[in-house]
Amino acid sequence: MSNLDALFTSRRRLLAAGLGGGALLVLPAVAACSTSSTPGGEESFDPEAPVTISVGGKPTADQAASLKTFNDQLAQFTTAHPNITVNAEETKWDAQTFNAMVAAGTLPTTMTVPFTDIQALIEREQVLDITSLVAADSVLSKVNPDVAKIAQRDGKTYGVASSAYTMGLIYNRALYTAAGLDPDKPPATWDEVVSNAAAITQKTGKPGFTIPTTNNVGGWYLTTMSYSNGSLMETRDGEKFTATINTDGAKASLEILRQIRWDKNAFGSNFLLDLTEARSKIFPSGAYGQAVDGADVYGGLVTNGMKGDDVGIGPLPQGTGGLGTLGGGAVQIISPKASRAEAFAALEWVKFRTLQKYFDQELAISNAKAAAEDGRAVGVPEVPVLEESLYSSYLEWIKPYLNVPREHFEVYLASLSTLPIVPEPAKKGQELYASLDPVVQAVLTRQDANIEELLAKAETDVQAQIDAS
Amino acid sequence: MATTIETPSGTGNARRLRDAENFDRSNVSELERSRTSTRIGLGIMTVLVIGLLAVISGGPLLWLAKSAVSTTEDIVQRPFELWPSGIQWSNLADAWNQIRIGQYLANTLWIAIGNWFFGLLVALTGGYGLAILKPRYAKIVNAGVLATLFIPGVVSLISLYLTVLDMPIIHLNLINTFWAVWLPAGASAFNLLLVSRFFANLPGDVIEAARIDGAGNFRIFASIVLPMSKPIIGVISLLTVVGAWKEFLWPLLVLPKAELQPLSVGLYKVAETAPQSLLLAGMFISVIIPVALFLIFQRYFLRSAGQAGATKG
Amino acid sequence: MTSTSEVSTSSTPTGPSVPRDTTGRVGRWVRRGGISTLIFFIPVLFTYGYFAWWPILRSLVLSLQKTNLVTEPKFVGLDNFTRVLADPLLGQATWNTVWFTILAMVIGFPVPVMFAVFVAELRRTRQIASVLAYIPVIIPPVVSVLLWKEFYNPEPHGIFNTIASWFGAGPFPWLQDGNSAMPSIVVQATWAGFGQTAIIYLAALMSIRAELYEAAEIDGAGIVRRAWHITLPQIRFVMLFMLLLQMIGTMQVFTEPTVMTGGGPENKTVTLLMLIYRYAFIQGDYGKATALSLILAVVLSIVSAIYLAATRKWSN
Repeated sequence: MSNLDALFTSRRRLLAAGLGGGALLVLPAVAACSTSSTPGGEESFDPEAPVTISVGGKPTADQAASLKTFNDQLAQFTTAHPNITVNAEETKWDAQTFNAMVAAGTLPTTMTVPFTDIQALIEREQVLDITSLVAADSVLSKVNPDVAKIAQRDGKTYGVASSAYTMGLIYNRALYTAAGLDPDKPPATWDEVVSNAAAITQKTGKPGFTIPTTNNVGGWYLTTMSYSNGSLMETRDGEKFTATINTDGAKASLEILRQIRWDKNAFGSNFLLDLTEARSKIFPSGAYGQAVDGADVYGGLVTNGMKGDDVGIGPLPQGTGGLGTLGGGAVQIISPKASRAEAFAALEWVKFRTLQKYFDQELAISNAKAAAEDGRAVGVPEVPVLEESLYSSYLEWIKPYLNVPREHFEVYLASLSTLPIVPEPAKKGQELYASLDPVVQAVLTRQDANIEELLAKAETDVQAQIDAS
Repeated sequence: MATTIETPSGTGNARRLRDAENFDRSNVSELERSRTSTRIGLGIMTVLVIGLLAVISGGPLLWLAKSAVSTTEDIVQRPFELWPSGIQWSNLADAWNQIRIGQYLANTLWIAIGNWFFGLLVALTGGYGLAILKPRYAKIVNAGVLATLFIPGVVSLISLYLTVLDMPIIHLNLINTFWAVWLPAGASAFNLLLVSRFFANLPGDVIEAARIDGAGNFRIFASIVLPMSKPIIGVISLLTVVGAWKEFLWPLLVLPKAELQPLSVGLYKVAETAPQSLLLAGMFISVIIPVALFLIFQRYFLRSAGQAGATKG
Repeated sequence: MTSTSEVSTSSTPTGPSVPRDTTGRVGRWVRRGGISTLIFFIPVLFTYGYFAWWPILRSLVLSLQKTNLVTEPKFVGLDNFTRVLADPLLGQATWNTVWFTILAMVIGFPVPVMFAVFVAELRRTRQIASVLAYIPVIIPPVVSVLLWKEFYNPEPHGIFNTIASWFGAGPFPWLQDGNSAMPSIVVQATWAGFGQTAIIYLAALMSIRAELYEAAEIDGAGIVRRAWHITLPQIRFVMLFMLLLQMIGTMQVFTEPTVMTGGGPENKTVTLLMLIYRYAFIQGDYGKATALSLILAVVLSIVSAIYLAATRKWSN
């Protein structure tokens, strides 16, 4: 008992300890809970010094051949860079968990982020500024500027675009044939889209044109259609951003949707379609005839059961004064908490994993072979991230493994050099899309929806959000 | 109280007399029950109500069972027909393997067990402390617990998430571990108060006697209080396990890794990509256990549910 | 150890003998089992400390900060609250949540009461009725919602539309129309929840004293009159309490609208909790989300207080 007595010297001290403990509980609220390293600053570092990085995007166990290729590449990379230790994770992009990972410091040093989300991440300072590292690198600085600017803001670079595609018109060739339409002639104008949709519904009973409208996808597609009908969603004058939603282009796009839905009855009956569901279950099963989507969707459709020959991809139809199409793709980002040495090492990995294949014939062939063995698409139409000539030689190398019927996409491929790629809205893009989802849903669910009113309200709302930030 | 009634005739009378002895009087009296018109009225309503219940409660489950072994086309296009394309027993195996129902099920079980354990741990020890040991600081702790009961959960959702992300002082990140679900589950004021009340109603003299005999707090807890607590342990166990099985938002937030997700989150995520037939098969597998357990232990479930509600009042 | 009859006379010695005196007091505390008592409190204190009390306190601070989890949080005063109140979606979300609650009260409140009042009269079949009523409660909510989502398929061959066609009605858009989406969700939520409430009412009904019925019967009251004047008033306290709990619960609804419609069509099924989720986990604005949580909590508390005061005279 006397030992215990010695533990507690006095009641007063006990009380003080309690208060102190309480104060300790309060402190974390006012201080940051994460150790703040000086990320990517201009400190110098030794490129040869040992460094450990973590990389996301490791293929899951059910993709056996790709996993093997990944591991082979990992081994190759480590041999070429013996000072770099790479820990691979299956981490993929997920909006909600990305935030948590950044906060907890568990974000891999580098991982893939979709085009459409990079600007928001830049704004929230959740990705590393790698301008100087990219400028100093001979390969990275040669990325197609049109594509590279997706990951840029105010002249600074925050990521490496590793693959790019454009939005086009995706259609079901089998349904086209059944409706008496020529599957090799994708519609060039929106009027043709509407009449094709009507034909499909009449002859086959299936909806002729459907788009998902939830989780910001409705707004994303409306923006795409608006571009093709001649209007941007946002304009910029120096530091001032203006929402330009109530425009002729947007109105024309909504009018097209209204026509398909109410006049031609060709939209089907699901107006709250989810993008993932559409791509993995509904379109592949031949449930509807046409949709807007990224041209890279081929691989996913085939994996989900669609016959490769039934996939039709055409350029985004253009209305009067059409500005072009929306670009999409993947960006490799670096964690904001990475040190300069880690960022450098991670970029070496990024180069090796994503861009090396355009320079290294053997690597290109082994990648293509593994993808083909896994049943994944090889040769999907895409926008070259490096120079055109590099891309053509790359295609030549992997020719024996091409399993995509590229001859079906001639019109689309030709358009890649003629149709301009317009970037997504730079400021509050996701919020803009979120505000447009209900507009699209309104037009589809209410016959009396007032397009002018809806667009005007969305414009005010988005402008308020832009001004508030 | 049953009153014996002279009834004119009928074979049902003996049964009714027995019932009258076994069941307490509710609204309709014995005399009224013996009247034919009342009997017919009650009978018709019983048939209607039970029939309606069978359709609306059992119907969806039976449809789920039927669809779990149907093709996607049959489910969507011909939902009322019985297997026009044949029974697809393979759905169940496919759901198990392809959409990893087995893993989600295992995770759900793990979460349920952990929630049960920590829920009981906190409730029993805390209830013992508050109701029997009653040190001077018990009043403050009690007030603190009551406060959390009356503060809507939404207040702390975000900050709880941030706390789990980086716990003060010990700086642990519990995200993507089951601890993130288990530990907060222990902070159930409702359970603690249930146990507290139960312990407060235990016979005090037994405990007093033990103290006089020189038993310490641990002895009393282990040898006297716990053995007498079987009923409340049962109720708390039921509540925590059922609660754990049904949780959605919290596991969605703190278990982003697919390999750790319970059924509720897993099915939600998988609903977008999985073929309808496999999805329904997975849903069927996930309800078998709770429904089967319920049917087996129905009296216990229903009694606990009613008891819990009575305490709320 | 020591008997509890030790009288602790607090003799206050003068002079520099304070250490000895306080050691004695602490020593007595230890000997009386103070440490073991504390040990019993450790699970409660740890769990509640980290996961109940601290988060509540932290909310208050968090709502005044701008936090994005990368850079240091900075104090922005009431800025979060102003931004929340300026969000055009707040009005819609508030209305949706209130509308859901109203519908849930109107549809979901009488059903369990009527059910319980009737089942209380059953004898042999009471167990079956209770079991059947409770089955929807046992089904995990996500499964239940996904199942009903299937039932609500707007195509003519969807389940509910097929049933409607037997009566010559429909096909209805169910979840696809802004006006019918929320009621559809409420019907599903009622189906899933009425058993739980009904069982609680049933337990309360079983404790109504038989003499009350007998007295009323003697006075000549029939079955229905007795139900109205005796049964219902006797359980009014439970009913009022359940109504309050239901109201507080439905104002925080998240799972059902999220899984059924994701908030559409046209944001007509976005609830306040979904808005909070969006602020925090999609926009990454944790301060704003906490601000809205606090506003909602305060409103709920005020409503509860008003409710309890107003029904005080009824619940005796």
